[in-house]
Amino acid sequence: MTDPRPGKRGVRLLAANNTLMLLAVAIILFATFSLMSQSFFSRYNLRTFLINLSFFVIVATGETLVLISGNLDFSIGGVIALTSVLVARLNELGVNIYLAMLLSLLVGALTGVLNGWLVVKMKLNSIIVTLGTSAVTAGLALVISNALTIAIFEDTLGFLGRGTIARIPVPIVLMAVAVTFASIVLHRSKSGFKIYASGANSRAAYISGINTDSIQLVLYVICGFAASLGGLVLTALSAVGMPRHGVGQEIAIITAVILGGVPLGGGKGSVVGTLIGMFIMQVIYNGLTQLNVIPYYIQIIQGLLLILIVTVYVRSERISRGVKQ
Amino acid sequence: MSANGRRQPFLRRLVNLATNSRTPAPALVVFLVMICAVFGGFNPLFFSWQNINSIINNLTFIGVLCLGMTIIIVTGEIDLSIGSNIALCSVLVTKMFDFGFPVVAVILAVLSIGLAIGVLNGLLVNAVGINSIIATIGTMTTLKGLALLFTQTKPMTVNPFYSFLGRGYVFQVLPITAVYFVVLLVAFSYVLKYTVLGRNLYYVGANKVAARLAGINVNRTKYIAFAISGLVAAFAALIITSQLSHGRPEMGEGAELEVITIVVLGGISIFGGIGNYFGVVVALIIMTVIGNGMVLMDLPIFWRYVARGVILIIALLIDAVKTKRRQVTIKLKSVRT
Amino acid sequence: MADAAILRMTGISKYFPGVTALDDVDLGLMRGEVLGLVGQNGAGKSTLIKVLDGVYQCDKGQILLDGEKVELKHPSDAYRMGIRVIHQELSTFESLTVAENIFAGELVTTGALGRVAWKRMADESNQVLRELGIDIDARTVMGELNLSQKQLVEIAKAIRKKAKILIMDEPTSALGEKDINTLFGIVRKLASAGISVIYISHHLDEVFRITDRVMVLRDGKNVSTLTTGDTSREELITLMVGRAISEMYPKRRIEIGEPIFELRDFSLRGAFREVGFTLRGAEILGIFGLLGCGKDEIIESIFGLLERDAGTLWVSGKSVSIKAPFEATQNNLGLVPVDRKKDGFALSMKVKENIVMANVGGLGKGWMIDRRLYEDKAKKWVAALNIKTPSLNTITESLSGGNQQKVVLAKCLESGAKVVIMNEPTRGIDVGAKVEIYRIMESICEDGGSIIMLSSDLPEIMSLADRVLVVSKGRITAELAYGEYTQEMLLHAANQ
Repeated sequence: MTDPRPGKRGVRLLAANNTLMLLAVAIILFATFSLMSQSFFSRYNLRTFLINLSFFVIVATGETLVLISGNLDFSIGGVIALTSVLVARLNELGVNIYLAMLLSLLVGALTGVLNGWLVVKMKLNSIIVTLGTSAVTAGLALVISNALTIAIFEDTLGFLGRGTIARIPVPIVLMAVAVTFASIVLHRSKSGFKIYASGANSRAAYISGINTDSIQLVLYVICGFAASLGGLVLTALSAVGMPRHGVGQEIAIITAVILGGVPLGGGKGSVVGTLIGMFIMQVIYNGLTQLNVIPYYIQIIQGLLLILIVTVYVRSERISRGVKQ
Repeated sequence: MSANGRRQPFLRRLVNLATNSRTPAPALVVFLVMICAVFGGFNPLFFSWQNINSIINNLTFIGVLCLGMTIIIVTGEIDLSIGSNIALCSVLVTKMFDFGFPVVAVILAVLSIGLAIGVLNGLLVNAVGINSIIATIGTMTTLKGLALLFTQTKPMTVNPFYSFLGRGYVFQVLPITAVYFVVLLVAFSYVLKYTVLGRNLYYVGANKVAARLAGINVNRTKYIAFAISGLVAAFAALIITSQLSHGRPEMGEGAELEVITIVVLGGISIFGGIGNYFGVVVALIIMTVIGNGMVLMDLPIFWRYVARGVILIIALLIDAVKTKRRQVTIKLKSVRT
Repeated sequence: MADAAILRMTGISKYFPGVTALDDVDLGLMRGEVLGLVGQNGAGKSTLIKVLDGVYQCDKGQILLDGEKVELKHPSDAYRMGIRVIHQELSTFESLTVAENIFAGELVTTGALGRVAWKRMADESNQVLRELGIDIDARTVMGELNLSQKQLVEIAKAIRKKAKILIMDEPTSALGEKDINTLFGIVRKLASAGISVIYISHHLDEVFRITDRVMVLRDGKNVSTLTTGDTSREELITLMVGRAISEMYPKRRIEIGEPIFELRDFSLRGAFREVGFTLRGAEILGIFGLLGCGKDEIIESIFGLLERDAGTLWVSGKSVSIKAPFEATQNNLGLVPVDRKKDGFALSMKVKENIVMANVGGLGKGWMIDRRLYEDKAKKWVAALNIKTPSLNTITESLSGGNQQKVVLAKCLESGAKVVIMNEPTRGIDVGAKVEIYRIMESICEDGGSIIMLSSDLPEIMSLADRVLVVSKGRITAELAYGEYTQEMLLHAANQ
């Protein structure tokens, strides 16, 4: 069956060989910005860029798992904020730093439990409910910090953000570990198979004896935990606990996950895809910043990007469905 | 009373009362009376005329938005962009007055912009086929960026007539915004119950495919719903900008969540095709009173955000339980014993 | 010239890329006649109806309505001309009233402002319902009606306004016997009022009850149009399939074993009461009942999909508690659900993925998946069940209905099911594939497995089941052994 319009054919190609196409786009964008801006291609900027990317990818890994299993989690921004503020506040009150970090990580995990219960057990709409928990966690962050920034001078936490392991910055190491571990689980393990099945058709998976409820619930907890972990990294990097940390980032992260190949209904995709997707978005963001583009334009682009990516997915799915007829 | 005659535990009865499909409103009214008593007990100023005035003002701003959101949710869609819509329109009002536009021109321009945003949302959902939640999140982000772009720091040139439109009083006692709200409420209620367009919203929300088969223009219905939502947001922007005499990009932030909370609490099922304005109005009063009461209790404002999130979750839970009851009834009706 | 035929479709051909859906089909429909339309899946029945309904335009041929040539470009054209189609899947607005459903898209308005006239709509709806002998009030919310009542409302809706031709596509798939009688009464009433009916059904016994003539489609061609009274079931099947099917059902004489599975005192208020039975090794136990009898609920309860008030389950002599499907599969039960696309497999997943889905734990020792083992298992089942697929990695959605069903069966067998519960095992599957499914069922029994088979296809259940339990209104009303009963006895027990 011949498609007369080249645009259509191009879209089909995109749908067919996702990750490779994404990689190509990532490389092209990177090259373009490198050529356009010297400050972009500087060693300092690239190092900062990768570290920032790590923060995003750590959180996005958790979100990827939730999306593949067929759900969405919009509360990650609020979790990051609450984690950040909590660890800073606890540190300020003199609590042992390890304990503070542990309790802060618990924030994400507990939010995940709540999200999981509401979405999976009570079967509420995942987007609206997690927007609700986002409001609660972000609100609590404001309450605890009284909307103020809390400075945090702490070596252990600082190590998390500014230390190195074998000369590689810790955040990048964490990112690598998270991506590797998640990929192995998703693509090679039995649990990974069950995750994909839950997303592809949760009812059929359930009847086949897969405990879809507990899988989806656990993934919400993991996502919350990953968000908390990212929050700690961010706090360590910026040396402050801020209730604004992470707020609004959920949109960028979910866009990256969808861009990376996970359809909105789940059942397909990979963490590596998310990594590339996040890379692309960060390259655009960072590159434009280096080119001195006003930040507000960047936000506008973020919104447009989400619309564009989802459009491409919806259209390409319709086309591939049509071809199969 | 449960099947075997024993009285069910209080909590269970409370849940049943809240989730009874047929009569959501009485339960809400009871709840309203209760919280009024609680807040009044904490601070008698709650019942002062000045406070009630303040309640009415807040109420009309959010209330107008609820009228629009109800229409969208009945259709089975959601519009998360209203907050940013308000931000953008509000900022543009300031800019336009700065350029010396006359009041009428400003009003018409802003309403058109709101309408355009609504149509844009409709386009993304209808023509492109994106899920309305994601689409409106996309427009929300983009519009917020635009609003930030157009913000200016110098204060707005105040136009007395315009200020009256937002802050004036009718018969020296009734805020003019209350009049707007009541008029719009009556108009929208009529449309929902007695016009073909209004009924089409329910058809589309209840079963999109069947509606199309029945010859209803689903796309057009949705376009109109989104357009109304955008228009209503612009109108709300006009009110709030007039009341506060400046346009800031923070206007309307978080409005969408608050509005959705009220609408769902008021009995409009998030799944579409069910509900009417009566419950929404009661829920509106409840939420406004809670917000007001919290201020009177001297709670830091941030608790308001937390409360908002919690109430949204509760409202969704109630809606889910009700819907499940309905579906169980439908399912059991297919078994005959 | 006054033509007794209200509809004449001549030389209708319809082509799709790579496939000729309709090939020079002629159809004549007399006034006030009930014409049956039969044929296997893919024979062209639904395409023909879609041409008549204006959904498709024919590539060749013409349509004469009342002697005049018509162009049907859109369903609204067909509707205006008096052609009404009632589809298999009901499209109802559950949250709205019966009157709103009947008047969907054509609300009655009054006055200059176009105000919706609620009372008038309710009155007119009630009138149509009464005329058809349907006892439902127009102001009832649709969601509160049961399935058969909804179907009746759909009919009322279709004929409300000047219908000339009513097309019913599998109208009884969701109806019980009493409602089928009501339906047939309505059809006869319509016919005698001059409305013509085209009746599409897989249930040949119904075709023989209600139609005047019957038309057989095969491979897009009109093979024959016969007067119903002059033909027989065997002749119709032969025409539909193109060859004589004498050996449709396997001749089974397999040694039946010891009891391996037992229910006792299953009860669920509103669904079933005091249900109990025993299943033996290598046995096919049929469960028959009209829709709404509760048989679906019983097996859902067995499989952990539905909670019950009371009752115990015994597998191999031990009492087991099954609260969720994974406990069922652990006890070597398997389920082939009635709606395979929704509940049976994942459309977007590959064939091999769907095959192993119920036994992910068996894909190797420990945490990881053994890829070699995975491929081998999938290969084994594709070969054993003769699943026609280009490769193991083909997306299951693209397989035919029969092959999809085989994938679901493979999944159950791969999980080691010794008791396979099959709900409508051959629904939506054409005759050729049905035979293959029956052979698979036979081989399951040969290997010592047992099958619980729910079916509304009388010949199927009578030929395959060693014993048949009849369920009516939530209770078992009869237990009949193979060869020792008649169709009438089955139906009689089902109507108790």
